[in-house]
This record gives sequence, C-alpha cells and structure tokens, in this order.
Amino acid sequence: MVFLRQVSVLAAASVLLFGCGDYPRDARDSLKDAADLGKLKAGYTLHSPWVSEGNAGSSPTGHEARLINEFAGALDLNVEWISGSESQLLEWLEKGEIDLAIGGFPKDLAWKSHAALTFPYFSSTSREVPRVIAVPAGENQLLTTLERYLLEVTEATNR
Amino acid sequence: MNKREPKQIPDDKLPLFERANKLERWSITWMSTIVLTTGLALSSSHAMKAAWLEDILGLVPPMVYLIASRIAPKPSDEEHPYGHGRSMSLAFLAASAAILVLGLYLAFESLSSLVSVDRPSLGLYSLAGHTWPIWSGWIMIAALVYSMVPPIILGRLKLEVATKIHSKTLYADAVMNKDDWLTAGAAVVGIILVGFGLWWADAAASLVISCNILRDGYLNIMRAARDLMDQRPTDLQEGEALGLEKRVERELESHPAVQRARVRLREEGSLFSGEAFLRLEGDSVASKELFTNLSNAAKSIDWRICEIIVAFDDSAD
Repeated sequence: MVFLRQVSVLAAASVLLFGCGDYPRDARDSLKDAADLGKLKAGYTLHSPWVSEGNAGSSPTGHEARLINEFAGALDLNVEWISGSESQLLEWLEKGEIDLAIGGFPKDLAWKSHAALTFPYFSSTSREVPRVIAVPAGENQLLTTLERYLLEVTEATNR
Repeated sequence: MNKREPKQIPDDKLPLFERANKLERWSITWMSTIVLTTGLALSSSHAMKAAWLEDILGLVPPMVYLIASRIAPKPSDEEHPYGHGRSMSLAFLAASAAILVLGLYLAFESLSSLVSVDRPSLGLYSLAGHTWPIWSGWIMIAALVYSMVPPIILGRLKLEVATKIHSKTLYADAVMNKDDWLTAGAAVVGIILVGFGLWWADAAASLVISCNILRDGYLNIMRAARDLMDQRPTDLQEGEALGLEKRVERELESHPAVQRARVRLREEGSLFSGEAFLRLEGDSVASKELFTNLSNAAKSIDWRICEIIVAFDDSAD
C-alpha cells in the first residue's frame, strides 16, 4: 500500500512538473538540437501529390512538404531538405541524421518498427490509404510536438 | 471394488469454501476490466505489453480454481476410486507451466530489445482512428495505476481465506495478486523515465516484470509438483511440515489397545489422507469396532484429515 501511494505521488508530481512543457523528452534530443541549430532536417522522397518536385534546385512542394514548412515555421525553424530513397531515409532516421521523413508513407509502412510514425494525419473519405510522417524512434518530444501540430491542422481543415 | 467414502468438509468450513469461490469469481470480473483498460492503452512500450500479459495470466489461476473446485468434490467412482481431489493440483501444474514459459519469452524479448537499442516511441494517444492531444504515456500510467488496485485488495482477502481452508491453489493465486503492484509499478516507473528520454528504462522495467512472472511460475510449479509427489502436509506460508503425523501417533497410542502407532499422511487439495500402522497390545483383539474407533480418533486431530486407513504392523522397531 505504501508503494501504491509512492507511485501515485510520483505520477501526480510528474504531471504537475512535466505535464505541459518539456515532457516527454527525446531520447536523442532531436528537437532541442534542431532549436539550437535553428533548422529542421527533413528527408523526402518523391510521391505525388504528397511530395512533388519543386523548381530546379529548390525545395519540394506538395501537401506534406507544405505541412512541414508550416510546422517548422510555427517553431521558428528553417527546413533543410534532404532528398533520398526510402531505404536511405530509413537509414538516416535510424542514425538520427534527419529529424523526420516524408513521402506519402502509408500507415502500414513496412519499416515501421525502425522508426516512429505519426498517427494517420490524412484520411479522406475515398479509398486512399491513410498517410503518416516518420520521425526517429524514441524521439517522443519531437513526435508529440509534430502530432499536436498535425492534430490542430487537420481539425482546422475538417471544420 | 472398494471406493473411497465421499470426503466430508466440516459444516463450519463450508461458508469459507463458498467465499473462496465468490472471491475467485470477483477476481475474474475485475481482472477482465483491467485487461480491457490496459489493452486500450497499449502501445509500443514493452513494459506495458508485459504488464498486460501478466494481467491476462492473472485470469488463469482463478479460472483453474473455479473449474477444479467443481471437479474436486465429486465422489469417487468406478474409474476414480480415490475421488477427484487431485484435479486442483494437476490443473494448477499445467497453468504454472504456461506462466513459466511466458516469463521466459518476455525476459528474452526485453533483453533483446535492450541489446538492439530498441527505443520505444510514445506519441499522442490514438484509439480507433481518433487522436487526442494527450501524451499516450499518461493514459498508460492511468491504466496501470487502476490495474494495481483490485488485485491488491482481492489478494489480501483471498490470502485470509486460503489459510483458513488450506488451499494451496488459492494461496498461490493470492500471492500472485498481492505481487501485482510490482508489475504495474515497474511499468509506471519505466514509462515515466522514458518520458525523460531514458529509452532503456522501458525494456528494463519489462525485464523486472518478466522476472516476477518467472518467479510466480517457478514457485507455483514447485508447489503443485510437491502436492502431486505426495509430500507430507505442510504449512501454506512457509512450506514447513505441520507435524500432524506425530500428533496422530500420540492420539492413537493413548488408546489402551495400541502399543505403537506409525502414521503417514499426504495432501490432496485442501484435505489430508493417510495410513496408520498399529502394533496392538498382546491381549487386544483386532475388531472392526476398534479400528473404526481408532480411525475416527485419528481424524478428530485436524479437520483436514479426511481418511485414515488402519493397518496391522507387527514388524520390529
């Protein structure tokens, strides 16, 4: 019983102390590092209409590219776009070299055990597969921050 | 063929057996709600999965108890001349083996996720295609804290009854329940630490849980196996011999017709049975009446002794 009380006190204290701001944190400080550098490193692979090629030499366009630009803007960050194949993006995510990856990934992505996927932020009424965005596994602050943003945006468009 | 007399549980103990059944039915009800709530909060956390599996496993002993408590009191029949008392130990052995195997599997899984640096990802809480702006860790912790309460209360109630009716199965179940806070508590600590960026805490917590499950499985297998091996009657808590044999021997030897008595006893579920080997005084005549009296005297020592077969023994010391 004493233990039960200790746990509930610990849990309550955690809610009060870390409920809103700096909790949960990243295992590898991705979001903090991005804030220090002032830029978010975003990997992408082309997959129209989610991610389309921009004008020569410039950043990608498309629905997801626009989402990420807006997300970074909300955090006062710039986006450094890095293009790669799906397997390259996976490798970079595992090594923590990029902060997130887009490419119109379906929610049942084959490598979902190697990275963290957001909730399916896009699910239209058509038979289109719901889409997700990938971040490195264990980066729970980055994941929840991105998910909160996606939740706001999707709620806004649904209204 | 001779069949054993149906076992008599003393009338004053019957309400306790009823209560044990009621507590086990309550356990199934409450543990089911826990399995459901914990299941709804499930995510990629290993500790959470381990705690969930342990909750599901917690359903097994009450089910086994309830099933066996229907079979055990059945009277002896042509096929089962000794009655059905052993069904409880047998069912319990099978359940314990399953628990042990699951503990091994969980221990292996948490170790391998530690070695392969498998960082748990906990995002916002999603259920059935809907997402809420709350960290899934909080939902998991809430479910785990809920899962601590019923087992602790039920465990204590069962412990009390188990000692009174001498049921090892019920006792083992009660101890498992009482230790359940360790599982949920370890998972809560693991998730809180993951929130601080300590990814390994999750797998470490699930390792602690799997050790707890392994311990449960091992202890229960040993208990059931000792029963099936006809171990002498022992105390529930400490597993120490009750020393009933000596008391029965002294009771029998106090009869004027008996020169020496040697007794052996074994456990069959809640009840004990055994044999008494007697050397009679030189001038005593063995009669049916004498043997019945001696057998009844032996049974009067403890309510749990349900059958004593009296036999001649004229061997030297």
